[in-house]
Amino acid sequence: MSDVRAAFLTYGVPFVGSVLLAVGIAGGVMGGYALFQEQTDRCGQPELSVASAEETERVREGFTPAGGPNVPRLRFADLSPAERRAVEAGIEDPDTEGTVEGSFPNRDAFRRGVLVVAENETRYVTLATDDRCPQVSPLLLPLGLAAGLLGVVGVLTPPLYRRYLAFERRQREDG
Amino acid sequence: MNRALVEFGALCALAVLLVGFVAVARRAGGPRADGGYRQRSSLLDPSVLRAGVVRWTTTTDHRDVGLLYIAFGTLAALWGGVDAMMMRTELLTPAADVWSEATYNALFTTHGITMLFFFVTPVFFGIGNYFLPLLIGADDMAFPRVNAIGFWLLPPALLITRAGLPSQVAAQVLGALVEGPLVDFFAALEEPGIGWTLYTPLSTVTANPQIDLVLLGLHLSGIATTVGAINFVVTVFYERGPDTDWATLDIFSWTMLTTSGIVLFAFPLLGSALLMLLADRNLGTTFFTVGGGDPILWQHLFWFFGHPEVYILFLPATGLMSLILPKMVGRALFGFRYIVYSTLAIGVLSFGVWAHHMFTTSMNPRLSASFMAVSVAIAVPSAIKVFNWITTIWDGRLRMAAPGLLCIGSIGTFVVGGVTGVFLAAVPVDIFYHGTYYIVGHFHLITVGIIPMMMIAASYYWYPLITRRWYDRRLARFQVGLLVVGSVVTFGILLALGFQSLPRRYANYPAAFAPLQQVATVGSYVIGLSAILWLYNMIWSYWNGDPIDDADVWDLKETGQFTAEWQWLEGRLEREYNVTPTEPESVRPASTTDPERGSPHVLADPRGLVRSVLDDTLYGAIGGLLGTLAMSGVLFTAAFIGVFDVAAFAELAGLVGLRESALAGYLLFIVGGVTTWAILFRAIAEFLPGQVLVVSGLSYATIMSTGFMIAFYTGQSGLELVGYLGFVLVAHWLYGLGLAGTIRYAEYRRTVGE
Repeated sequence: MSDVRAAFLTYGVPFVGSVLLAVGIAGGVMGGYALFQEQTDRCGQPELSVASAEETERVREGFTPAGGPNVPRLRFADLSPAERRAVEAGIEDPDTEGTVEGSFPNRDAFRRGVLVVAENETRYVTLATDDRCPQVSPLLLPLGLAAGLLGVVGVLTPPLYRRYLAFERRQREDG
Repeated sequence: MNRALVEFGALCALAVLLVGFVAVARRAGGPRADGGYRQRSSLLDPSVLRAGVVRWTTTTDHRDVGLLYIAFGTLAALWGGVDAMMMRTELLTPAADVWSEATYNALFTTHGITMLFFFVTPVFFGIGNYFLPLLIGADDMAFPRVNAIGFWLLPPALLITRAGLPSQVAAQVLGALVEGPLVDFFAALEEPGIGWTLYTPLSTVTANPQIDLVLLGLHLSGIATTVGAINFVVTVFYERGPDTDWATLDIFSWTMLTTSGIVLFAFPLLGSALLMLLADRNLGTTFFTVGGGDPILWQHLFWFFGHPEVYILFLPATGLMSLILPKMVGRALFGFRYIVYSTLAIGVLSFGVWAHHMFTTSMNPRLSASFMAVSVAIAVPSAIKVFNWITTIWDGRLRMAAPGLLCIGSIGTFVVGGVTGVFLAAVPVDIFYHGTYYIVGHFHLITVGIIPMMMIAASYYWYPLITRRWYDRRLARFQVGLLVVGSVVTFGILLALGFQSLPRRYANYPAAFAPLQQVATVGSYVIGLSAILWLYNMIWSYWNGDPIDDADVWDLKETGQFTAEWQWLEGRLEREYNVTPTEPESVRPASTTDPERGSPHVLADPRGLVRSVLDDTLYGAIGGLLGTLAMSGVLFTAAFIGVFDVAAFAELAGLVGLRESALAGYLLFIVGGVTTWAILFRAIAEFLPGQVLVVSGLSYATIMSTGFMIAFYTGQSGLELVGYLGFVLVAHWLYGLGLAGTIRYAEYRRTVGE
């Protein structure tokens, strides 16, 4: 029986503690991150990826003799102001995505990929990311932290218990 | 979230923790393992630092180079592991709302490249470097300086391959201060998101210049690996000691030899393919373009290297299993010769299965059928190994030490990983599962289910030989348990996701898969924790582990398995420290339950607990009050979070006929904690589980908490209910600790007073 108890305290409790700690990390990170995003307004703004003229040509030509896919077109003038600003930002700096800050009526079209026809240029534009805000329960952060703390206690149980036993032994010897 | 800064910050934090912990472990260490006094010179002392740097950067000793390889591989594993943790964090939610889709793509790309090229291969080459010459009786590797060069090509290769991360951080930091071409240069380099397989045409047409650096870095690592492999081959052929011939060559050396042979044929091809891809990207060649060589040509060339690479990673693990398992069960390896044959067979067959990665590319059915046949056939030598390992265990005396437990655990995970691979070898099954999580689950059950497990088993098995100290054996067993359970949970779930046809490599997934993904993520965190515990054990024990008494730490003489590397240690101990070689009867057990060595054991219940009714009541009340106050802290925290309703106290007041107010109910709760529940505990403590009073208090509190959970339940559901139950349980544990601890302290004071 004492072997079983020893094994339980040495391996069982820390194992449960580790699982709790892992769950706590998951909950704490997601809960904390969602809170952070909420406070800082750093999400919920989709980004558009604007291809260069050469890349656009490649998309239109495709990889086979049969030619490229039939990609729908949108006129630059038909885009919403926010979409226009995002496309312009993508054209100006090919290394970055243009952020759509405002109404986004053509979201579905951009998700599939469209050719945006500006004055003399056609560019292939796709939705790079929706940049959604995490939707999690507000309880996740406190529960995650609590589970993590409890998990740490579980992991530290064997040394704590051994120290306590040593303390008991010392007491007995003193007595 | 800003991936570059987060990952860089995490890596910096890891580095700081690691350096700090090394300093703490070193400072806490007692005498040296050989009993001598430790020099207390500061590591930051310039002369010490210079001597250390010169020594480790110029060494050509095979053991030093081996340790360098292992240290480098461990650091790479931490880097790749951070990638993995970030990836799994993204998958906690169905939407891509932690990292963007592009970042997720970069994460799985860099995770694969880092783990395969910079973690596994270097670590096995390190283990080979350290032990192969000892096992075959060689003084050193055949080409010591080439050996050192082979290692020193790796750090720059890693930095070039992963330059995207530091350059993004540099761009962001510089960009916050200045603008200009330098910032643009750094900003242009970002971790590529094209998958570790670098499939064309994506890898050809993606403009990111970091892809070129990845190709160069991989090429450099390939050169390093080839150089190392040449060294192993020549060492085994020409440097064997007088007592070692082909008939007596140990199994680990056989697998390292075979692995090195595969490297010689596979890596040059990778180098060629990488250069072709570089030329396609930069010089306008058409090796992998439509109408030129064809994008599928890349897949052929890549997998002609890539599948043998799988066996380059896997064979040394089987060698370690075949070497360590017999020592842990006290029986010689069953069917040694057939394990050698199976190793050689895998080495040959590994080059004949590459196209099973390409069954969905409209291959000619006759061709895919032939590759299916070879892919099924390659399972046979792997199965021969497994059956021989199981037969080795049969009727043996299994030692429940960490290496033995890892051997058992990895046989299990490897069998599942291998059998799922046999299914995938079948064309119709592969067509169905290609590109799903089933693949990810399958190969992770190999790449985690045996490869790192055997590395860790070797690290524990040979730790006394390298450091002359023991690692913390209890912690090691616990760490092994975490690793095995974490692997089974995480990768088993990936298989289940694959059964449901969830495609891999997507940052977003349908919400229906969220529960499984979340459990898999928790499992992956458990694996991460186990890796950290392993590192802690290795570092702490280096300065603080129990010194070994003699060379036969695993009782190998008893079963005639005291092999060459241990004989080398014994000779060294005798020469340098005059340690007399021991006889089997006099060695101490490797695993002990002797309480004097610090194993947990349970003391007898304190006697004479009840001496004075007045004292007992008083201390019980004080304990009850302390416990109830601690409990209140937790309950009010729960109320603040929103998982506990203080209105439940009002109901309690109403129950005994008082005015229904929360305050009255709370005061009643305090009174109950101080009197009723405390006295009840004093009365039944000796009948509760736990021979130590504090443990009895915990048992008592746990039992009580069930009643509280029912009585104070106010309709919580979902996460609220989980939180409610958790907080109530913890609150009661604190009550039990406060109550029992106070009583125990009073008992002590009384005893001492007498």
